[in-house]
Amino acid sequence: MSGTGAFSPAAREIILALADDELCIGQHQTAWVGVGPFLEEDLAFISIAQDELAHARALFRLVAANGDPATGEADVERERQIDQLAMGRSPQEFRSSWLAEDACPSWAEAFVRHALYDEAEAVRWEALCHSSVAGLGPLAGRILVEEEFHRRHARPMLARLLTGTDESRRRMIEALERLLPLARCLFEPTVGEAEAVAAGVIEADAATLEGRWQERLRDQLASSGYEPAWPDPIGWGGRRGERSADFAALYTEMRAVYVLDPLAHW
Amino acid sequence: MKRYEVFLKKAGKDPFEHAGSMDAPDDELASVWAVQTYVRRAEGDQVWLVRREHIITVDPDLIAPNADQPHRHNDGRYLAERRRELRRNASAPR
Repeated sequence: MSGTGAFSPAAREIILALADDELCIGQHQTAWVGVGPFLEEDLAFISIAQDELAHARALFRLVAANGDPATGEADVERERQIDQLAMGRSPQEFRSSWLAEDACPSWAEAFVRHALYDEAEAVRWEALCHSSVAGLGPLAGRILVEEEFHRRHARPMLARLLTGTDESRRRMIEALERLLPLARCLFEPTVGEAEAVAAGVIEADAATLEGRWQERLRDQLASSGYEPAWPDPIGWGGRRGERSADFAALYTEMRAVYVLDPLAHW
Repeated sequence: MKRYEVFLKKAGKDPFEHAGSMDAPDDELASVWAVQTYVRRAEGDQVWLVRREHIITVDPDLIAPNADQPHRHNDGRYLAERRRELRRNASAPR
């Protein structure tokens, strides 16, 4: 099973869902460069965003290689395939969650999205550590080291802001209340999920992973005196190609250079 | 917010050097921000964060009140000559 042959469409769905989340989040969060609330936070936030873009790239590389890890790093054709996956697909071919696509225009929302997303991301990568997809397990292991840093940024910040001033708490809770329904859609099952779980692509189904995520988040938020109501999900369909209203602007922005010359070699 | 002074050290014999200062609400966030701000490109292998309130600033009046007296700056010439002399004597046949 491991290391030979092309991987299944169900495996591809799992990988693209994560890759597209990473791409959209990385794209949105890098937009905060230079306009973060203060210098040190600006650098930390952007650094995390760059990590997410690198994770997306590593996942697109896996998809492009399609079970053939033998291709070298400097392969021009492989680089084009990665670009094509990131920038050349139609909106319907994306598998991103609506949380990742959301514009989150205020810093409070952008930050809360990062906190919710990175907590979920860690749960998702952990479930890929022993994946049957060649190369995915070792990649997950490397990326979890970075994710540890992301959470060491998000957790104390969220706690501080929830317990800081009345205004900081209000802003955090408003952002949490708006984004939690979207965040729950991070755990919308991908097409063919049962098959992917059975084949060992991922260790557990999305519903199980959501349970782990909620438990971690619940403990974390409880220590800051906040108990989320876990509202019903908004945005079910993202994993099946339905795009949110905010996606179009993001899509145009991130492809602005690519569409000038899709075959350019960088 | 607390003010922190940031010190970095490279591997080897170089000492810690002051790199800058920053504000943070606590030691945990100070560490996260310091790493991103000061050692993203491996500018140091070790980082010290010192709360400014823990730095003792010595009263300027106590500092070198007789700095204008040149004999306080030992250039080491006399001592070097004396050590050469002792070495010569030690290597001479007894």
